[in-house]
Amino acid sequence: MSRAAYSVAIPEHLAGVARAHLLRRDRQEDLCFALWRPSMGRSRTTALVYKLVLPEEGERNVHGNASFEPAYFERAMTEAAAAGAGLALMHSHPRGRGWQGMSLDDVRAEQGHAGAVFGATRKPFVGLTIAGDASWSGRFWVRTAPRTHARHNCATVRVVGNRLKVTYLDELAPPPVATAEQVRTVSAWGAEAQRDIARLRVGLIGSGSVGGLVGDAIARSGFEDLMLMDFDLIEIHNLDRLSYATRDDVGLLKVDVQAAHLSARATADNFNVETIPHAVFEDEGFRAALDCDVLFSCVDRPWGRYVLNLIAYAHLIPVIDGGIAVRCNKHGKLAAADWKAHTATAGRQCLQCLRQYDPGLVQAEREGLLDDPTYISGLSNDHPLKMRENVFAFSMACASLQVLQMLALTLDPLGQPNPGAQLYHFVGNITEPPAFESCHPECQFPSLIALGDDCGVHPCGPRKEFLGNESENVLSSEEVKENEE
Amino acid sequence: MENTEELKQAEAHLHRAEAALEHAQQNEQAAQADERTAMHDIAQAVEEIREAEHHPREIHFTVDGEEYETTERELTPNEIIREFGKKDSATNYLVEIKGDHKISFQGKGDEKIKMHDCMNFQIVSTGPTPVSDLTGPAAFIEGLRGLGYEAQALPGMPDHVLFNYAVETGSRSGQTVRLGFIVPQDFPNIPPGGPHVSPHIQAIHSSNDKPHPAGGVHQSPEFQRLAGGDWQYWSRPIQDWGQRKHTVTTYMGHIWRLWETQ
Repeated sequence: MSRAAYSVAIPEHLAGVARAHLLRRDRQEDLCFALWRPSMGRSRTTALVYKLVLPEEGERNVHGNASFEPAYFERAMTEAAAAGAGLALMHSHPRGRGWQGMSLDDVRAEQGHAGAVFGATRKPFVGLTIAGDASWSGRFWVRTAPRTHARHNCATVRVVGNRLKVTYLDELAPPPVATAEQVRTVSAWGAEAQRDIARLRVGLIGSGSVGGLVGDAIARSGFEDLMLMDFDLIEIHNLDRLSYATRDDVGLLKVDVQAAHLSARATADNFNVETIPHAVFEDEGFRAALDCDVLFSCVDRPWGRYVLNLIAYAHLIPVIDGGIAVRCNKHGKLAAADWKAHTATAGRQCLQCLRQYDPGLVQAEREGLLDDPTYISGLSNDHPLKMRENVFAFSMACASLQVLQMLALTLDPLGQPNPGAQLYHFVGNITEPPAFESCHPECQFPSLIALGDDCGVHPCGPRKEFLGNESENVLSSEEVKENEE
Repeated sequence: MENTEELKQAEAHLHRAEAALEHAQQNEQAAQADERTAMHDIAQAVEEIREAEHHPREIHFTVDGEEYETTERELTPNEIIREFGKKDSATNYLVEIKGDHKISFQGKGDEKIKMHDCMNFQIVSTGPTPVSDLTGPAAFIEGLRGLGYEAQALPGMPDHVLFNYAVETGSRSGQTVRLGFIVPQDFPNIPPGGPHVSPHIQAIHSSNDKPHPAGGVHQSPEFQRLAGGDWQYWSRPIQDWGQRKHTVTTYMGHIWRLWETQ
């Protein structure tokens, strides 16, 4: 697909309220205003709708079509300006289906107010239309010259929550043509669903053992647009777990080798894979992740997971996360091997509350301590950072669960997009019942939903290498006692 | 009888004529004063016109990042706060930003400022700022002050915070040490990793195979260089931060327990 330059994302619960207001029982058109926050990716600008400004008595007229009074516009614009937010106008085409075009009246209503909105908010006016089948379409009115605002259509409008539902503008995001290689895949869930999911821009954060297998599943299932992110090089001890690497690849960037591997195996005609040799907590990696529609978290460190957790809620990009923990007994025999998968998205429990990372260790990683072997060796044997041993078979199982989480989120099979948080114990073959918990009352992430770049949290920073305890500076116990005396 | 009446009328006429004369004389003086004022105003206006001819008609400036324009060549800080910032000048003051330099107009709200193009102003609230609105090192320092610790940031290192700490528990009870923290910009979402301590309390081992309190002790070169004295870093991140109240009190409870177990 063509890369989206503009997009709109709406939290599912807010989209539900807007839909109830805009799609009236009497099938007349209606309208309302909404506030949005920016999410600036490397190449995509997303308006994150975070609040509706519903009309009060006498502020809008419904007469088959709908119109708003100047007082309503001024109230909404004042609220947007006071909050430092952008303003959006939502209206309905109850008889429409799919992506909606614009009538002359629609254009006049939005373009005619774009200047005033830009003047008050310094942000483009955003227009949104909901069709009778709850499909959304959207556009930005971008200031191109004094008193001139041009329409930039969004390629996608995403409704994000328990389910990820995307409406595409075919002109900017052409539907893929199913290939002969995809016949069995398409027959499983149908051509329409395949057209929807194959156009998603999928980000794979971490090209390790799990990320390698997830990439294979994505490329073979007909997805067209994949981003790989990892700054690491292939080492000899990785070869028992990396599905895409050989001995000849040792010393090369993981993402480069994986990209070549996937390009040769992708079943889509227009397969596009982009490589980002950075960490997601570096600014360049963070901004690249914001260009995606869904992210796979295949990292095993706390800082990366923390950043991905923030992206899932503040930037409305669902994150499919998983993990593997292996434990041996004191005789070196396998005592436990567990893997889990879950999806962090608005309305579901976050990675912090799922205890997929410890916020207390994020700063330790920022200071380079997690790259210090002596630091790791000093941790208890059941510490997650010491339970990273892994084997290919466990990675396959974990990768499979993560891909299934993503398919449930996007395909919504029989209206069941949420399989819950899954946990499997290999030793004893125990499958825990799926968990459907909420975030802890102290958790801050639900309050950051759709606040994007304005959420007030700046999680990124440079990667730092730990310098270690240099022997010449190491103090003995005797020297400490001398100091005390 | 008739003569008396005529006399009275003549006297009244005379009084009116005298009053009219007096009024006319006053008017003449007022007119002369008005004339002088008008001449002065004309001279001032001519001067302003001359001055204006050498200046742009509109002056462009920003307040809190918003662009504004004015034809006034002088404004008071309070006028800028009220008319452009739309805020109450009683609870806000103005700061002019000149690159890295700032000029505060606190307490000078009615003094005229000569306006010129590209001036940048910031409105600063003098009202109470809720701690919850602060983040990063500022929030951490504010929280420490609330607990009675006079914390400060190292010069040029705003995220390196240090203060004197009287140990209240454990084998070091009664000793006063200095504690330092590298506070993340996204505190309270993310807590500091662990305390930097001065003087040295534990030996620093090249291998890290000892349990608490001896293990996980590292050098602290930045605090040692910038704050002076012997410093070491205890790598003791707080656990379960996500399930606790994200406050400095919670974090200092963790520090208290570290000393209790020394």
